[in-house]
Amino acid sequence: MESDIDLVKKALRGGSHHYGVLVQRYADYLFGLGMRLTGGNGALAEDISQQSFLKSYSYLSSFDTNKSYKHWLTGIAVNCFKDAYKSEQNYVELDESEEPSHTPELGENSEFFRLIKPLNSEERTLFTLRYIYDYSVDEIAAVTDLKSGTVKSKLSRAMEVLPQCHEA
Amino acid sequence: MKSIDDIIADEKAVEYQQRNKELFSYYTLTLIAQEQAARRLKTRLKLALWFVLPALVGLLLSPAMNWLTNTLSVFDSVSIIRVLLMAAASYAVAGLCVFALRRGRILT
Repeated sequence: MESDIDLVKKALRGGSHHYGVLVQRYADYLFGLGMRLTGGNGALAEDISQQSFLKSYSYLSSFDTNKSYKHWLTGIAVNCFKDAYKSEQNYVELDESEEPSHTPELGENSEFFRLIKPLNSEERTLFTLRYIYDYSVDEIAAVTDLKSGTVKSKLSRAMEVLPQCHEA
Repeated sequence: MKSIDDIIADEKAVEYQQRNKELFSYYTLTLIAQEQAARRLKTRLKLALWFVLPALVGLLLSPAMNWLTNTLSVFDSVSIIRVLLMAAASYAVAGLCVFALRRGRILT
């Protein structure tokens, strides 16, 4: 299997079909991230993942090949989520959606979506990256353009909010 | 009630999948190709405009030059000294008017 970096280099040399392999590779990952960030909104998650791939291709020449493509893509997806969240403040919540647009293999964990519901978009992003994707604080700081200290304080604030809301 | 750790562990086990990954990939690549084609077209149009621009300027300039020469020829007979004298006279009259108005206000 070709590495991400090799595929990026080939795509940069002028072959969008090589980029297609990257799209296939990270389509589910970005969709899952989108689902978790949007609290289970499948349509918005699909939109975010597509926008992320489009932006990633546009800025591919600025990608530092010494870094992880997955992390870079995650950063783009987080920014796309922020933009989508701003423009779609009244997006359909999980309990309002009629038909799920995704097919989770092990059953949908709607409890997680209920858990993160009281968090704002930024806290939700940090919480998801830290506890679901096991990113370190420094990695989150790099992805979200925040300082490590800020990430830590926002995460602890989110953790303070969560148990209260979950127990209520 | 489940603890937060249990909920997180359950969520980690969930694997979300795009409805139709092939179609999604195809559509995304189509959008990328469309964007690239639009960008290429823009570049070509810009290039073409740069090539056409000198000819266009030359074409517009020839009738404009005639009009410009005719307009400027009207000012050939104007004497700069006369213009300066007229300007000085105008300022003097304006100054007198202002002075008269102020004096009139003071008197009333």
